[in-house]
Amino acid sequence: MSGGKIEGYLSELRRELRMRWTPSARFLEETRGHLADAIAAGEKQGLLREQAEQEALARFGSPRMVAGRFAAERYRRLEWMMLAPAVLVGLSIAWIDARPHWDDSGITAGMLVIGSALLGLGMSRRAWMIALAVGVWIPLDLIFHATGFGSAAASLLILLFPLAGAYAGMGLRRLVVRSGD
Amino acid sequence: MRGMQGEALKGHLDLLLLAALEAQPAHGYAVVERLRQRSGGAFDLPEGTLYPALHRLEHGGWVTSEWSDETGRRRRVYALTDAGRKRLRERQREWRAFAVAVNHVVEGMA
Repeated sequence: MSGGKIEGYLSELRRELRMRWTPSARFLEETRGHLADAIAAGEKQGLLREQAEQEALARFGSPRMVAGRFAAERYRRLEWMMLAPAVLVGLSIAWIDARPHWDDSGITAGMLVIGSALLGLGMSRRAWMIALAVGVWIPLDLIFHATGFGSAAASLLILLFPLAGAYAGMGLRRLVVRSGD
Repeated sequence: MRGMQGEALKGHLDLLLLAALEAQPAHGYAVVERLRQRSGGAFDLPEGTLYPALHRLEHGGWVTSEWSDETGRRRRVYALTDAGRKRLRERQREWRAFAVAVNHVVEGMA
């Protein structure tokens, strides 16, 4: 099969799979074979080559959607397993922050950002799960000891730091993968 | 008739794939064709989404696969394992019980 449209699709699919750290060689070869069969079937039904290619690609699904489904199947368990170290990191930061003589909010915020970013590097999606697992403990502690609704609600703003870190980590990974293309 | 969409089929995909492979091994496109033919064209999944499910079934030990180029084209052919056949029987039993229960409710409400 030498159609430019098909090769373009395959290279887009390869890129989407790489962005999600999903091994692609076997699946790409299967996809190539599948599309060849689908195009041959379309031509047999009387479609022009270009129409058959278009229909085969439409039926297969967009590269982003297919790669997303692949990564979801592959990393479903791994992503849940990532929560354990994230909780550990989060509890450690919360413990440090709760120490009586600790008075450096800047360092706490930095630890939340960096810890979440490092863990976010391992995620292909749902970085917010990491952010919550790392960052929810300090607000919980503050809410528990809060004197009013205002201070309890304000403590949730701390979640912005791990959210920024986790999405930065996941974004950095995507950038690295993209630059390798 | 507009085909059944992916979300509606998602929970039943394993059963459908195992059933499609029951009679004989097949490569991905043939599996799609079997599903389409047996459903009278009602199943309208994006075809690319079948492969992650097939790979997952293989990872679970219910399906095995190997490359074949018998037809002159290189294809990954999937086949049920013994564990896959057992799994299929279980899922068929579950499905029948589910279908009977739903039918009783729906028909009773009609």
